[in-house]
Amino acid sequence: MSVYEQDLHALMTRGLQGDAAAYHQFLEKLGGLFRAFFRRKLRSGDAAHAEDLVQETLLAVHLHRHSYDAGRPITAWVYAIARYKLIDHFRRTPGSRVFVPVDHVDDLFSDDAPDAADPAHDIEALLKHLPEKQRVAIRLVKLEELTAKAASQRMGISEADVKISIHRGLKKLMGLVGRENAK
Amino acid sequence: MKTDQLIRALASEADVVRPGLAERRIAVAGGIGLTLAFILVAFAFGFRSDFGAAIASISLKAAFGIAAAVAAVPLLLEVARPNTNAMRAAAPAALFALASLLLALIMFLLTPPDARVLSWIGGGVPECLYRIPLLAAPIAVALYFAVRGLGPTRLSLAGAAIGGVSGGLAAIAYATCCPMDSALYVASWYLAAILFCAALGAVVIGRALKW
Repeated sequence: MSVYEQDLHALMTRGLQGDAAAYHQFLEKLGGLFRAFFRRKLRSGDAAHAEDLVQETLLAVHLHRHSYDAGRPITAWVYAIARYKLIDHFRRTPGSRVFVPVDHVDDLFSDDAPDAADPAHDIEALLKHLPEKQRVAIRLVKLEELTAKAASQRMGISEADVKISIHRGLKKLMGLVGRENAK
Repeated sequence: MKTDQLIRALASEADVVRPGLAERRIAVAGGIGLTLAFILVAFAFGFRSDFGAAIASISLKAAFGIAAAVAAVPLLLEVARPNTNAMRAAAPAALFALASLLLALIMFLLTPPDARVLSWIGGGVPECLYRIPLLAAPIAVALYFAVRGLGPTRLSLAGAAIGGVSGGLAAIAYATCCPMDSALYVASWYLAAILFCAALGAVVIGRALKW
């Protein structure tokens, strides 16, 4: 199960227990996910439509939150709604369909809980190439948004060591991404 | 409206949501629908005159309906809400249909050749083919109202699941008036009637579920 799934699941579960702060954080994270999802699926330059869809989907998530079952993956649940809204959009505005031929509509579906749009999924794959220390430092500071100090305490190394590890790790990651793109 | 503002507005509506709403709504709707179907049997078709003597075969036929409904419920619970893994949830329903077909085939082979036609279609057109869908209608309407608002994203599949569960429940009610007791008849025509309900549901209810 991805870090992303766990994170969203925890926030949503607390939100459904009436924790407004957790629910707010949950919706914010979804906003980012949906923005990336719709921008990727719509024609470039269609940012306004993408933002409309982000809002529609957030609203739909909110209005259907009572049908979410905590025993099922949350990413699958929210992406099912996003896909539904996307297909609905294509249906309403046939012009927007240019880059998604109906034959390939299956490409829009993913049965995996961590959808391909889940950025953590890609990042986790890349992080595997790094040494343990760099990987943990990047995950704590860049993904979980801890301060360098908090991360150094958690890892039991000095703060400077954390920063250097992140710096080296990121440099290595850039190299990896560059190589993948060149392929 | 800015997305941030929307998020703030929605977050301020956070409240305690009791889990299991989908399950409760579907159970209540199924109960109401089944009651209506029984009332319909009593007034439109009348219970069997030899009800007491035939109680064993009536129970077996009702069990067939219960099994069909139970097999289709996992799929309904899955596709009643936003979801992606409908395939796994559809397995019990598919297994039930296969088992029923197998039963029909076995009974066909076990029945002596000259008794087959009578055992299979009784006197003329199998009445359950239209009576079960008729009884399924009020159940399907009740289930439709239960599922609407849960946010189904695979509408045809959700419609088919509603139709299938309705057909299974309707078969329970229909068992109390159906005069045909042969397993060959039940395993083939009851199944056909339930599948017909599912197909009709996919088209009609699937469209009505759009949100």
